[in-house]
Amino acid sequence: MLIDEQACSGCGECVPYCTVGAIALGDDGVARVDLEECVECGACLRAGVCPSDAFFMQEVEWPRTLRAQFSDPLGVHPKTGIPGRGTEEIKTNDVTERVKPGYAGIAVEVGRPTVGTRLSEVEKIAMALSKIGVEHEPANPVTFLMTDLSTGKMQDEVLNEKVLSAIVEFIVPQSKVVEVLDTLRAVAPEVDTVFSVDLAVRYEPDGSVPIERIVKDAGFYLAPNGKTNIGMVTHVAAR
Amino acid sequence: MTHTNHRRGTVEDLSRDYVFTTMASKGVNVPGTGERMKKFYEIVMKYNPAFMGDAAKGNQLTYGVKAMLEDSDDKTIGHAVFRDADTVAAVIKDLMDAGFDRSVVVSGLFDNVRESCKKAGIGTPHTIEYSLGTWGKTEKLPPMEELEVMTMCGHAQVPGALVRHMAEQVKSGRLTAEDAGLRLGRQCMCGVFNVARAAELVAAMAARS
Repeated sequence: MLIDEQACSGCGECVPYCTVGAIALGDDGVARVDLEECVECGACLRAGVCPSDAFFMQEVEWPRTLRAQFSDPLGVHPKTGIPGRGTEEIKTNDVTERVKPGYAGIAVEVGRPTVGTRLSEVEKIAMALSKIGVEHEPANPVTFLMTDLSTGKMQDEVLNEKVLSAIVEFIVPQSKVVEVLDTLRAVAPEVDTVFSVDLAVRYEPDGSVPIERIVKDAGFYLAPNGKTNIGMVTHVAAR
Repeated sequence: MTHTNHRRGTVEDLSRDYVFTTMASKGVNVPGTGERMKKFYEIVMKYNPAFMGDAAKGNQLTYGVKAMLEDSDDKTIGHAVFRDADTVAAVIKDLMDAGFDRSVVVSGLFDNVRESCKKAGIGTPHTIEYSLGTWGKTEKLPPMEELEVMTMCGHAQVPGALVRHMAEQVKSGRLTAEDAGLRLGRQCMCGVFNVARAAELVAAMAARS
């Protein structure tokens, strides 16, 4: 994203709308976008607060095109066909059965919440997980950037691109969950950003979730709030 | 997408924050989804959601409620936010009674969502997704009072600087807390932002500053 310096009135209204703090008013009273930090999310343009309509999208080439793919919430990924940065994940699990009984879907949301990340940090996490035999989700935007799925190595030319977040996704047997979490805990100090961890499992028929106790006993925190696929499709079909 | 899985707040505050997400599955049940999503919006609107949106097109402020109702199509990913578990139960029941056959995820306190499912006649939900919190360089995170607002937009479209700016505007009397909530919510393109909760949090920030 760029600002037409001739049009800019220097009001500064746009500055707080940048999701990564990449807009600043210069000493000359003109607002400018730091393109090194800009993740091309489009929030500043969509905010509509510029009285001079000074914002415009510049022509963007590969690999910078990745920034918007991972950061613009209205952007549809060219390969997954889904808005956002991951797969359908558990949102449609009652239909896809992607996460089956006895297995766990894990997502590592690098840069989330709110901090952002260079793709180099995503590679560190992907490679650490590959070392313990994790198989990366095939239909995932991060996986598409890997040159070697067995190691998690990503294309060198993308590593400096900055994005709001990127998700490493995979499915493992529930017996492997603690090993995965221990691996993430070990790589965390090497990562120059934050990452949030998600764990998805099926409810047992009796309504219990045994993995909850296992994860807590291993010393990991589980938030009291999260996502529940309520099984609408299966319940309606059964009626 | 896991964009509703890391909403921060006290348990008491989170007990007033629930998000419905509904979508078709690519390659499985996409055709005919548009009319289902229209039904979804008709049902949720009966219960005055705190916010609504279509992840593919925009929220109720940027895209419009009328457009959501009229222009729902097979690409629609419907969102609606509610403030209490009883309403969540009522919405789930209405969707079931309407034979709504697309996937539905409810984000919120697990105990309350399970109870809402029971009240609506769903015995055991299908899949649960936990947040294990945030790891790594957590010193880079904004203060919690900003995070509680920011994380209601899981796509990070509501920056901490904007939250602080809105709190300053409320403190100086240039904006009401309600208007501040709406301005922040406007940035959340998919419509999962709880504007009423944001108004309360921003008002509290203004009072503390």
